[in-house]
Amino acid sequence: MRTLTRLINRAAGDLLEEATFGPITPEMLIDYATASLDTNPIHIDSEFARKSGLDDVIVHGMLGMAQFGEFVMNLAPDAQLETLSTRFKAIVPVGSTLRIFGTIASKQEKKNGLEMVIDLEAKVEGGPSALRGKAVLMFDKTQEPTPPSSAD
Amino acid sequence: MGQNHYNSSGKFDRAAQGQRTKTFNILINEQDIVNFAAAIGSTNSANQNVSALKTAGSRTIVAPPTFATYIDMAAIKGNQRLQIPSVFELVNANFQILLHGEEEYSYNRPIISGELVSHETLVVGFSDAAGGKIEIAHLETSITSKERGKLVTAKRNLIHNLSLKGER
Repeated sequence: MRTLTRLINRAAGDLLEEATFGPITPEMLIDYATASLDTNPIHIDSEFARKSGLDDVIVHGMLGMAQFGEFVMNLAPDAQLETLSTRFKAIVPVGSTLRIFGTIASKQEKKNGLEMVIDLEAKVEGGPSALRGKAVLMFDKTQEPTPPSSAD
Repeated sequence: MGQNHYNSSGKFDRAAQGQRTKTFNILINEQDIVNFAAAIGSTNSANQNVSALKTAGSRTIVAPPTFATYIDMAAIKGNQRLQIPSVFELVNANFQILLHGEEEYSYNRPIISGELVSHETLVVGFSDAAGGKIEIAHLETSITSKERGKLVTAKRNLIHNLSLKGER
């Protein structure tokens, strides 16, 4: 509950603690392909990837998006996740480490609780911004005392 | 069958607009959630322990937010096994030039283990971008619990990057 209280007390514009995922190995892609059933060979077959004009296999976009899901669920395990969206902007090569960043975009009292919107970004370490996302969280008022600083 | 979509070539079949995949039913197994959580490196206890039991009010575990993609793939592969066209066949996805553009999940209720859910995808339409170098298929998937109603709506854009050198 301490994490929840901390997040609920943060203000719009606040940068959240960065998370990292990786380096992402070929074995991790095979594990993810097996567990997600996404066995598109572009993620697990180097030869196939090269035939498509790539240097090697690439990371499943959904494995990147899963890190956004983990980022927000770890911050607020008892909040209700209303939406999670992701735009896949750049290919993530195998071997990459993803750095996950979150910023509180807005915080607003609603009829059924406090809604918090978090802007998300995943950057390839030493490379481009690869995914951008957004999470909308709802904190149920009955579960948590109203934070003293929340005047908006 | 099974693998033939990997060999498909050419562009999206725009006549697929408005078509729906056949409803596919799947039982959500606890082990599938545990495997998925492990593969994404989840450290979230909700995927594996008691805090989740309370949430669901029974001996079930809660799936990570993007577990809906597993249900999607299970439906695609299940339909292919039954020789029923999956969404990949409907839109004529060319895997050598196929990329994922956008994904948006709207959650009504969490996905939990031990439940029978139904899956259906609508081909919303198609568009073009980047001066014709990219074509986009717009899809919308519904995942519904037989007992608890609508769980997740997934809006997804699939992209053909026509500048990649896949055979076409």
